[in-house]
Order: sequence, then C-alpha cells, then structure tokens
Amino acid sequence: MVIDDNEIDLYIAKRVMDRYSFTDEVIIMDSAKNALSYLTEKQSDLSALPDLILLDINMPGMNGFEFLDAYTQLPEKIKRNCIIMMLTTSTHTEDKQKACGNPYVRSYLNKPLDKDKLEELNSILKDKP
Amino acid sequence: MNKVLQEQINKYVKKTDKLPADVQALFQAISKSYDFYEADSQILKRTIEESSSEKEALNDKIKKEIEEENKIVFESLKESLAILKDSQEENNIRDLDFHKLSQIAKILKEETLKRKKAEKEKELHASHLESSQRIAHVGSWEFSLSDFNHLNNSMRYWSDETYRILGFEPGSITPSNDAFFTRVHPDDVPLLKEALRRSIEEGERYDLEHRIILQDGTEKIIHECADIIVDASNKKIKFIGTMRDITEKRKANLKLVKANNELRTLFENIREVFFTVDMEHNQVTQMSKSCEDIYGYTQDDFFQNSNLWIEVVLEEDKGAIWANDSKMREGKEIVNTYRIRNKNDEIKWLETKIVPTLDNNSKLLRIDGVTADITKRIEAEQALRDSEHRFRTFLENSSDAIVVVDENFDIVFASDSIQRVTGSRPEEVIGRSNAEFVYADDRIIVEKFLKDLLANPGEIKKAVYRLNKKDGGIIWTERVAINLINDPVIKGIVINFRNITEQKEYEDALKASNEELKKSNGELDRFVYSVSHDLRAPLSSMLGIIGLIEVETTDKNIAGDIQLIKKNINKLDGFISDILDYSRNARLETKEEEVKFANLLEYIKNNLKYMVSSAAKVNIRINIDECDTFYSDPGRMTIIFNNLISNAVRYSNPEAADPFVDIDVQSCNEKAVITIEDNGIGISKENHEKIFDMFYRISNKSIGSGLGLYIVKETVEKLHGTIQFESEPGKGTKFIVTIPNIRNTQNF
Repeated sequence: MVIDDNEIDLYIAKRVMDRYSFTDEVIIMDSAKNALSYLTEKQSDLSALPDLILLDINMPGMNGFEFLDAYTQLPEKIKRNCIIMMLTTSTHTEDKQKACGNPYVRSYLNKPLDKDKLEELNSILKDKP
Repeated sequence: MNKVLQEQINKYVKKTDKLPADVQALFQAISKSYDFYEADSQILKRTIEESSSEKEALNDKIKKEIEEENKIVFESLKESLAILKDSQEENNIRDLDFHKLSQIAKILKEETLKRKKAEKEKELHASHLESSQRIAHVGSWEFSLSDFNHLNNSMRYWSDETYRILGFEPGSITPSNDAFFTRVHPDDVPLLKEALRRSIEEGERYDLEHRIILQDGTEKIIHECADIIVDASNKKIKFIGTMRDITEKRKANLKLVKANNELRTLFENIREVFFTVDMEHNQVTQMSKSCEDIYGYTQDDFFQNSNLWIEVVLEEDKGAIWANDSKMREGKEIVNTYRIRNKNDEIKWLETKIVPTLDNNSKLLRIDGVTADITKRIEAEQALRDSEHRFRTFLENSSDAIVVVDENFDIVFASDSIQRVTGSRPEEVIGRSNAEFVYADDRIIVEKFLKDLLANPGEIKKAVYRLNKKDGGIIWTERVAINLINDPVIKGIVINFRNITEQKEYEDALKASNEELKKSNGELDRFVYSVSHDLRAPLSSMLGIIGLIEVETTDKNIAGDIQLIKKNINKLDGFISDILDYSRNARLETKEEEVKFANLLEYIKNNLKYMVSSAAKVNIRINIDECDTFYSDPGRMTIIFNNLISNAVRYSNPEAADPFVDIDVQSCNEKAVITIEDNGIGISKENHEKIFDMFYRISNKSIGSGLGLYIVKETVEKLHGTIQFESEPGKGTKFIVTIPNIRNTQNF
C-alpha cells in the first residue's frame, strides 16, 4: 500500500514496483484518511490487508504522523503482518527521528522510489518475522 | 594685820593696841605690803618652777631684785622700829624720826604699787605661757641632773600640755621618767635612752622624733628638744626640754607628699599640655613636657619662641583664634578648637582652654591654659558624621523604601523615601495596616508572604506585588524582607521595597515581543518546512519519472538528455537543501541531545549512495572512539558530517586507485575531535582562504551551491566548535572539527 497525496509520486511508485515486479498487488491510497478507512473495513479480510505500507509525511487533511497515531489505535490483527516505511521528500532530521521513534516504522526513505530503494525494501522484507 | 608684821611689832612693842593712833595707818600700809610680798614670793616660786629655762634667768633676776629691795625696806623698817622702841622708852619721838618713818612709808607705798603691777604681769605671764603651750601643742619638762643616776625619780616637772600629750590629766600623777617611758613606743625606747645619754654625757643636742602609744592605743609622733642648764660654776644642774605633738603635722605632711607625687605624676603623664604665659612680657613661663607629644617641639622651643604656638596653627584656623582674643582680654574663659601642623608635619586637631588673669585695671597679666590633642575625637566624630550622612543620604535618595511592620502587620516605621515610591509621607502610613496599601488582587499573596516571614525569623524572603499609590495609581514593587521581631532594637519585620513598575512593564513588553518573535520564528520554520517540501516534492517526482525513462529508453540521445535534466534537478535540490539548512541553523536554537555517532554516520553513508553518483566507488571508512556520552545538537552535527563527507566523496580523485574517505571520531567528556580525510583532488593554496565564503565555488564544474562549507563553518560556530583543514591538490584534503561536549560546558 502506498499512501501519498501526490498523483505523480503514486504513479511513479506503482510503475517502479511493476517494472521490477516488486509485488503482485499495489493498493494506491491518495489520502491517509482513505487508507485508515480501508484498513478498518478490511480488518477481517486478511488477504486484502497490506504487508507493507509506504507512507508519505506531508499530506493535506491527515499527515503521515497523524496516520501513525491513528494506526497505533487499530486492532492488533491488522498490524500483525504489516510493516511501515516512510517514503518522503523531507530530509529534516526532526522528521526522520520522529518517524523512526514509532515502533511500527521500519525504515525511512527519501523520494523518488527507484530500483536501489526497492532492493533495500526487499532486504528488509526478507528479515520480516 | 600681817602675821610677820604682828610678830615684829610684838617683838619691839609689847602691846599693839598701845600704838599711837597717828601710826595706825602707817602700820596698816606696811601690813598690806607684807601681804603682797608673801603673795609675790608664792607666785615667783611657782613661776620659776613653771617657766622654761629661758624664763628662769628673768625670774631669778626679778626675785633677786625684789628680795634685795625688800631687804632694804625690811632693814630700814627694822631700824625705824628700833628707833621707835628707843624713843618710846624715852617717851620721846623726835620729829626727825617721824620724818624718817614717813619717808619709809612713802617708799613702801611705791613698792606696794610696784608689787601690784608685777603681780598682774606674773598672772598674765603664767596664763599666757599656759595658753601658748596648749595652742602650740608644746609641752615642757625638766629633771634634775644632780641625781641623774636615779633617773626614774629625778623628773621634777611636766607642764599641763606635757600631761595632755602623754595622755594624762594634768597633775593626776607625779611626773617621773618611768611614767614617761610607759608611753614611749617600745621600739623607740632604746633610741630615746641612748639620745638622752649622749646628750647628758657627751653634750650632744637632744633633738629627735619618736612615737608614743597612748592608753587607748593611739599612736602619736612626738618631737622633743632639750638643753642642759648649767650653774655659775658650769655644773650641769638640770635638763629642760619641750615636747611637741607633730602627729597631725606629720600626717598632713605625708598626705601632702603623696598629693604632690600624684600631682607630679599626673602632670608628667597626662597628654594635655599645661601652660602659662606672662602676657605683660609675652613670655611663656610654663609648658608641660607633653608638648613634645603634641607639637613635636620641646619645652625650650616654646620658652624661646613665645609665638611658636600660633605659628604652627594652620592659616585657615588662625582667624577663629583671633576672634576669641578680645573675649579673653575681657577676662573671660575661652575654648579654641583648631588645627596645627606639628614639627613632624602631622596635622593635629587641638582644643585649648584658656583662663586669663587681669589686674585691677583690667589689664591682662597672664593666661593659664590646657591644650589637648583631639585629633582622634574629631576624626571619630567626622567618621560618625560621614557614616550618618551616608546612611541618611542613602535612605533619602535610594529608590528603595523601608517599612517595618509589627506582628499584626501594622506599619511601625517608614523611611522618608517611601514618599518617593508611594507618594505617602511616613507619618501618613505609620500606625496603619500594611494591607491597606496592597492592591486588592494581591492581598492574598501578601498575607501569605508576611505569614511566611513570621514563621521563619531571620530568613530573607522576596516577593513581587502591587501597591496602591496615594494618587490612585498602581505600582509593581519588588521587596526583600526579613523578620527581626526577636531583635530587641528592631522588633519587627523589615521590608525593603522599590518600584519596579517600569522594569515590570519592560519585562512584560520584552516577554511579549519574545513570544511574538518565537511565534514568527515558528511560523517561519513552518514556512521554510513547507517551502522545502513544496519545492523539493516536484523535483523528486521529476527524478522518479526520469528514473523510469532511464531504464525504459534505448535511445542514446534521449538517455543523454535525460542525464542532463537529472543533473540539474539534483543541483537545484541540493541548492534548496543548503539554503534551508542555512536558514534553519541561523534561526533555530541549539539542542542538547545525545549524539550517537555510529547511527548518524551510518545513515549519512547510506544516504550518500542516492545523492552522489560517485559514492559507490569511494571507500568510506569509519572509526569511532567514544569514552563518554557526547551531547550536542544532532541535527547540526548531521549537517556538518553530511557536507564534509559528501564533499569528500564528490571531489574524489577519479584517477586514484583506491579513493577513500577516512572518518575518525575521538569523543571524550570535554569534546569530540572529528577528522575527515580523503585522497581526493584537493584544494589549491590560493583557494584556501575562500572555501568558507558564501556562494564560493572553486570552478564552474562544481556541482554544489557554494553554500556547503559556509554552512559547515556557521554551524560549527553555532556549536562553539572550531574547524581547520589541510589540503594539497592531487593528494587530498583533511578537515579537523572540534565540538565541545556541552554536558560538561558551563557556557550553554
């Protein structure tokens, strides 16, 4: 699942993942709110729940950090098989520290998503318990 | 009829009653004369006994004279009576005989008058002697030397005063040497006996003092003088002496000597100078020795120069002395206070009291005076005045007001300065409750403050609260107070307060503007954050798309063009990042957080792969020696490392066989020393001075914004660190950054 308000970035993410056959299914969410609704809706449908969420920080309405706060409140079964990675333009140390301080966030990447970063994602996913 | 005369008449004339009537009167006169004679003899006898040796000769002479004269009278009377007898027998008394008788009667009459006069004189003499002995406390005595061997019994006479001196009733005992010696002080008996012996045997003058002890134990001192009386044949006949009670005189003498000594000691030791000036001759006649202590000049200096005393007086003080001069000449006592410069060049304050003596014509004869050194006193007074003045000035002029309140918080004292602070005069607030003056909203605070003070005697407490001014205004006051209720002098809580309204207003304004500044800073930060995101987000999107095109195109021209676009986008992105870093460094406060070098460097190393294309070729080696936790601002440390390492990677030497960047961190409790060394292209000498300049780029080929090293330098300074570098073109560059560990620095 990719959560981003920027259409181009969503497009690039999908294209890059398809191009390198990163995954079978990419769920595109144009807002954090929609993503939360989706997760809540699909909480009993394990196959519809994502294994990985790529999360942007700067988004209108609900930003990445607010999403993380809400995500923490979600039932355990939703989060059990899911890891979150930040995918953002922000290089601010504060943002990075804040994000990495969250127990559900596994990594912090800067845009754009490319081949090298996908490889890094893969290596992290492999370690996934 | 006198007994003796009767006998004589009876001898010659048998019957007395047969005496012719015309001689009756004559015989009466003769009888009286006889009476006088007998009385005379008695007096003489006593006078001789009583009189001293000096009077003896006179008495003897008088006795002789009288005896001789009486003898003549007596003889002629005898003769006459014999004639009378003869003529009686013949019953014939011749005219001649009567003539003779009448002559005798005449002589007798004259003689009788003489006797009367002499008797009077004797009485006078005796009483005079008696009185003078008594008055002078002089007694007299004598003893016979003819039987001196029986000294004890030889004492013949003591005068009444001698009795009295020795503590006897006059005439109560028989004078004797035994009686005398019972009164002599036992210690003085041998001395006395020896003196007597030497005087009598060797003719030495007897003149001595000795002690006697009376029956009641009183000790007296006696002065005795005695002389030996010799007769015509130069035989020692008696020893006549006087004794005088000199106890009082001796006691007085001792007292006088003591007083004199005391006076002398006083005079010599007192620091005051006593002096006398003969004003007629302008001559100093007396000057006590202590003048040397005060003036440094000796007594002689003053005797020789009568004007010396005024010559040493400071010019400005002479006027006051002259002003008193006329008063002194009127005979009034004066006191002068003035300064002198003494011989040792010391300035001294003196006080001189002068008592003038005038003659009957109001002419000044002499002055007596005493001069005291009062320098110390004046200095002490001055010091006291100064300190009092200082304190008063301080109280009056200080912006602080002082009030003292009692245990009921009623004002018992207020300094004058309270008017300046509150507008109320001290007398307007004394006696009123402290609470009356407190701004209504602050009364609870004040009550708490005062109760706190009351509960903690001797502790200093501070408070800030508002007061109502007399004119209705409100002022902020800051106060320091101490509870001295147990102090016997103060007996209250002393509150020192001042008006801090302006300060408070200023502080409030400062606080407000600070808040505003913080707000605008925060706004700016948010703005910068948004700008950075909004500017960079499209760039990263473009890079993403370019990345896709890169892998999908096979057209070499397109691929080349795409690379150019990519390079420029990266440059723009770096530029934006640098400007943001710079603006954030300048504006944001430094943080104090633990810096984990290992994590930080690992992240930078990873990020470099995406940022710098040549990073893959460069061997980045990291060495960290940490002996203590390092505290600084991790964000800024990241900026420093990021710029220096990316520069090292970016400007690596493409020709080098083994391009590397060695990162070495030596961190201890004081500081961290960071060394970043590469074997890159290096910096030529002429550029060494410029590399930290803003927007300076070594060449047009440079990819950076020209801000990187400038930001590093600014950031290092912000962290109170230092940065140095060594570089040689073709060989490499070495940066050494030292950052203090702020956990151990007081500067932050």
